[in-house]
Amino acid sequence: MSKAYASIVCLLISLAVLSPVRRHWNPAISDSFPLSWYPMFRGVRPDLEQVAYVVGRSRDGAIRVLPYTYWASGGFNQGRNQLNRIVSQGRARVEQLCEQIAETVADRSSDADLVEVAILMGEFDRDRYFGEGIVTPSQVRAFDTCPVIR
Amino acid sequence: MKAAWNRFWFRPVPARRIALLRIAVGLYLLQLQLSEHRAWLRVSRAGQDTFEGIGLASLLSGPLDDGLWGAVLVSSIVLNVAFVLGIAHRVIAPLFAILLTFVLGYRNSWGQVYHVNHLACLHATILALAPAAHAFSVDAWVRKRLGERRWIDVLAWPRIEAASDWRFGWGVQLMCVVTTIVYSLAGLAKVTGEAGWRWALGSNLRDQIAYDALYKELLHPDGGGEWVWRIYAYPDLLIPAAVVTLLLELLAPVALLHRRLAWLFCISMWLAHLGIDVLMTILFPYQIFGVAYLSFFAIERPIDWVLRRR
Repeated sequence: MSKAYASIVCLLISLAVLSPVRRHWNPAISDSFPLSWYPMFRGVRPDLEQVAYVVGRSRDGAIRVLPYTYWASGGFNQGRNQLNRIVSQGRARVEQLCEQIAETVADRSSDADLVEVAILMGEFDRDRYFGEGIVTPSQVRAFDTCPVIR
Repeated sequence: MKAAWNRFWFRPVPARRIALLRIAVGLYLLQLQLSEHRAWLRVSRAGQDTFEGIGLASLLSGPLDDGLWGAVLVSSIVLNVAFVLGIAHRVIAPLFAILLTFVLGYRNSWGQVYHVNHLACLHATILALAPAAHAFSVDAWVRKRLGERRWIDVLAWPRIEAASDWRFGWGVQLMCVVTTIVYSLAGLAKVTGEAGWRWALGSNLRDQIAYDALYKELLHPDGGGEWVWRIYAYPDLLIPAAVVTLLLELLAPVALLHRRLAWLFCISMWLAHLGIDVLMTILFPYQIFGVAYLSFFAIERPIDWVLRRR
């Protein structure tokens, strides 16, 4: 092995890892792996957060949140982004996901009380949620609801 | 200029140090692949239409067939084992680095690019391109038993006589350089973003933490907002955290100048990751278990001490 080989590897890898820096001035370029420009640190959050989420309704009308594990494998952020993406794809795709989640609910004995699944979009004020403890959304829109068939 | 270049990149380092780095990084990646194997097999569960190729997976026109994806995962685990054991390192380690980059890219192609394993993958790639198996390896054992053979040089890099040599040093130094660049990029993202230098005031950090916690409250089985209530009660607490984080990230390459600065950098970043874990329940295992920072230390010394005592 020569110093030339080692120098070239050092230079190429250092420049490659540094190369995403150009994306700071061209945010249209998407994130990648294993070279990233860490775009998640760039944004400023809006005062009101629009959050897509899933709930189950029991026979007596009680509602509880269903976590991402009902529709995704591969981690929380992936589950969140997949839900957001599906919601943006239109009604047919949302109905398909709702039915898929309802089937999962039907298979779980711990969810025996649930009779309906709903995919919602809620508008939350972060400061009121964590600062004042007001955890209910200021607005809610249902994308789809579907029955749990056992 | 040339002397400075040589002094920076080509410091002699014992073969044992880069070999231990190969084993540590390799074992981290092996446990990652084994523990996540099942989840990764079902990565397409939410639907094939959520696929968008990332990294090497962007070369694909669409998702892989489930059977083929399973075979790729098993191959990557097999090559990972060979990487840890130091078998035909010159040939097998680069293959492992390419396959690992593909596997982690494919795993990140389903709606979310996770940033917890970028550095581990880069470190594995560097170790794959360097002579990192001249000690604590099957290659070293075979060479010792069979003596000099040309095919061993082809499969496992030629013999290096000196116990401490620049050829073992450049890979270690490159790992340190890459580690500091990655942190600098994260710092740069903050100050070139919408908040600019106001990021140091802490409110942007609080909003990010609260945003993440809100989603976890609504989508995560364990919730995630317990610490955020306290942050809102004492908002000024985040100002020093934001300032120190920015300084550490933007000035990360300074850690390359002196051993003690490197220690300070590593300990501070480790504490920062611990804070992220506590506040946001986002675990960076490669950093929290310390593997990410090992290249800054003479990690062979404890092993040498144990061997001397035997």
